[in-house]
Amino acid sequence: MSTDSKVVNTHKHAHHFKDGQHEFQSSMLGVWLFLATEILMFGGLIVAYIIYNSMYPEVFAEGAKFLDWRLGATNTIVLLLSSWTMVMGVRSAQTNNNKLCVKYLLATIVFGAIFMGIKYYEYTHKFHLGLYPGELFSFTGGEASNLALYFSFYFCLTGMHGLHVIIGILLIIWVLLRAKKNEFNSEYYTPVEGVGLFWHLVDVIWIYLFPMLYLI
Amino acid sequence: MSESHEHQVIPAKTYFNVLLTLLVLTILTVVAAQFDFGAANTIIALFIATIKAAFVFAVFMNLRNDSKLHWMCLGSAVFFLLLLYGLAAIDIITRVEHVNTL
Repeated sequence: MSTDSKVVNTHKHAHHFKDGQHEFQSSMLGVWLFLATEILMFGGLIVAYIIYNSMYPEVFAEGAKFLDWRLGATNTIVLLLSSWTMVMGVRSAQTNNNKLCVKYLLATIVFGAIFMGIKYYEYTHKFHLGLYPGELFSFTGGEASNLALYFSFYFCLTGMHGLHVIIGILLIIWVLLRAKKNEFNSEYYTPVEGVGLFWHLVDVIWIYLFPMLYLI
Repeated sequence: MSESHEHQVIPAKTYFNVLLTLLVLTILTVVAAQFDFGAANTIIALFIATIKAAFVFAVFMNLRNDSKLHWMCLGSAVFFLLLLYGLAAIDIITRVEHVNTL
């Protein structure tokens, strides 16, 4: 990997920080605290899912039959690849290679878009069958009387996750535009790292959702 | 500014190896789900997912050589989640079914 020697650090750390390192560490602690709240929010939903799954296993088993594990597995692979391109994007910023950073970030956005495309395909197929969340549920061919319960969980979990993917894509577009302006270098790449951490957490959540919803 | 020597750059090969590991573990999850282990199905799937999550946290999110504070953020979130699950599970398991005689 070639290192761009023209890169200069134009970033000035805020006056209430001792130095750039101090600013970086404070920012990362902020991101991690935010990630802790994210884990608690998704975790609450997952705990509810596990409890209800243990109470009505036959409902969840029937609901899972409407999901195609091949689509879920493809999406898992897509998100794992996107996490890798994200981390390589951060690494490129760390090594003063802004051009490569832009390319990796672009690849991450493309993988995120592929993920949402597959999600869109899955959702429209379910809507077509009448498998809507909550009281909109109009599917009548189910054996379990409360099949709607499963799909309320399905749409709540995947919908909340999908929202995070969309927000993640917007954040990556933001850092991509800044990387294009050569704002990042080995001394200052805080936004890329912070957005990267968020993106990896969204990936981790999907790592749990995939087997829970599609496989078990 | 020369004080940022703490920003160590992880070799690209490490990231690539972790990606390969994660992909292999994904295949393993799918393969394991083809067999019926009864009640162990859930445990096996969540166990593999936790190994995958650990790789992402440790390497991609750099918890391996990161500040202990970040560990505590993750650890406290997981701790309170387990507390929530534990107490909720105890509630569900110990419920007595009531038959209304009225």
